[in-house]
Amino acid sequence: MFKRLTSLLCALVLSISFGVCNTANAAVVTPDAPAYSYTNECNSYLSVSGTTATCESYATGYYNKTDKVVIKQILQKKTSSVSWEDVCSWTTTVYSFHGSAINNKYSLSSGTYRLKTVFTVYAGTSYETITKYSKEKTI
Amino acid sequence: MYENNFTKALYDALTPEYDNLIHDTVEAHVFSAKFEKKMKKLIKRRKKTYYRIINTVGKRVACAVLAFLVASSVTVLSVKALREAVADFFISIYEKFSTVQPINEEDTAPLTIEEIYGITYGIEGYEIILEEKTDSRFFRIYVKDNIVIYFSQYIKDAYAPDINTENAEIITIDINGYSAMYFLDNNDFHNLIWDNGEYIINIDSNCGKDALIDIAKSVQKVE
Repeated sequence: MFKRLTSLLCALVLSISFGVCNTANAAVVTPDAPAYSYTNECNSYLSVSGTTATCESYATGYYNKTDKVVIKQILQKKTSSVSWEDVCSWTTTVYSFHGSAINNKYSLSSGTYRLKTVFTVYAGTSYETITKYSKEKTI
Repeated sequence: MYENNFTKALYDALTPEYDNLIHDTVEAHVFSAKFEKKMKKLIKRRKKTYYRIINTVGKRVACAVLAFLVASSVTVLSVKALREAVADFFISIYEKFSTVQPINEEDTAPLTIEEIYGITYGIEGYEIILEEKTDSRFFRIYVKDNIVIYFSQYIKDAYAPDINTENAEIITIDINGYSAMYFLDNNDFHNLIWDNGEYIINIDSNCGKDALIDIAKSVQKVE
């Protein structure tokens, strides 16, 4: 039993090790390993005024290559030094090599906020997913 | 009967003699300090809970290999960005991209786009296919045939994008007295970024390096 457990543990660790190494060196784009094959630049910007937050996100791909950009914006509020809670979210889809989204959230309570943006950038059926956080802003 | 008596007689006659002999010649053996230390070590090792995992050379080698792989995994997972200052920017360089931020974020820099900058040379024949203006950014895309120019003007507070710098060599180029960051990305797009004191200007294009530098030098206030 002990030997079986040890073997199982070893196999698990080895699998994780090789999995991680392969991901780090992979040329294949996976949602968890952004490759910037279709994305030239992306940004996530949060500005606040009074109790209103303005959430701006954009991704610019490559002309004649990138053909669709899906932008998911998630406004998050800090709940502790290490955790955030989602306040609201918006999703915008743009069929072009450049996509941008700007949304406002009104009547926010005091606290520290940030904008998390998840970009999914397409070139035909291939895509890459990039997550970008804004600077933190306090109301 | 006779045999038993003989055995007893022989035992009685010889045993005391042999006992004396042993006492006279054989002293209790004293093991060397090195040997004692080794034995204590072996006994101590055997008492450890993980003794069964490392009790043969093969198992010890397997453990070493496993430890190496785990260490490698942890190293890969905990890769930190290399942070450098290039031109007027801090660049956090990752494997596939870089995060760029202006070094100087003065309080005097505009918090919204108050004046518009634009390209004033080298765009003859180009069509503006997209223009976006928000409080934080002015963006234009020019296209002529397969040549595209991205022009962006940002307020400093909004400028912290992730940009594609995979395998790119980042150098500094002078643009009208401002120190600009230049690199060619893996899609053959030339990129120039500089801080003109008020705003961040960024021009990306597949028009060629010299043409892009000429275009960049023409950027000035237009509104």
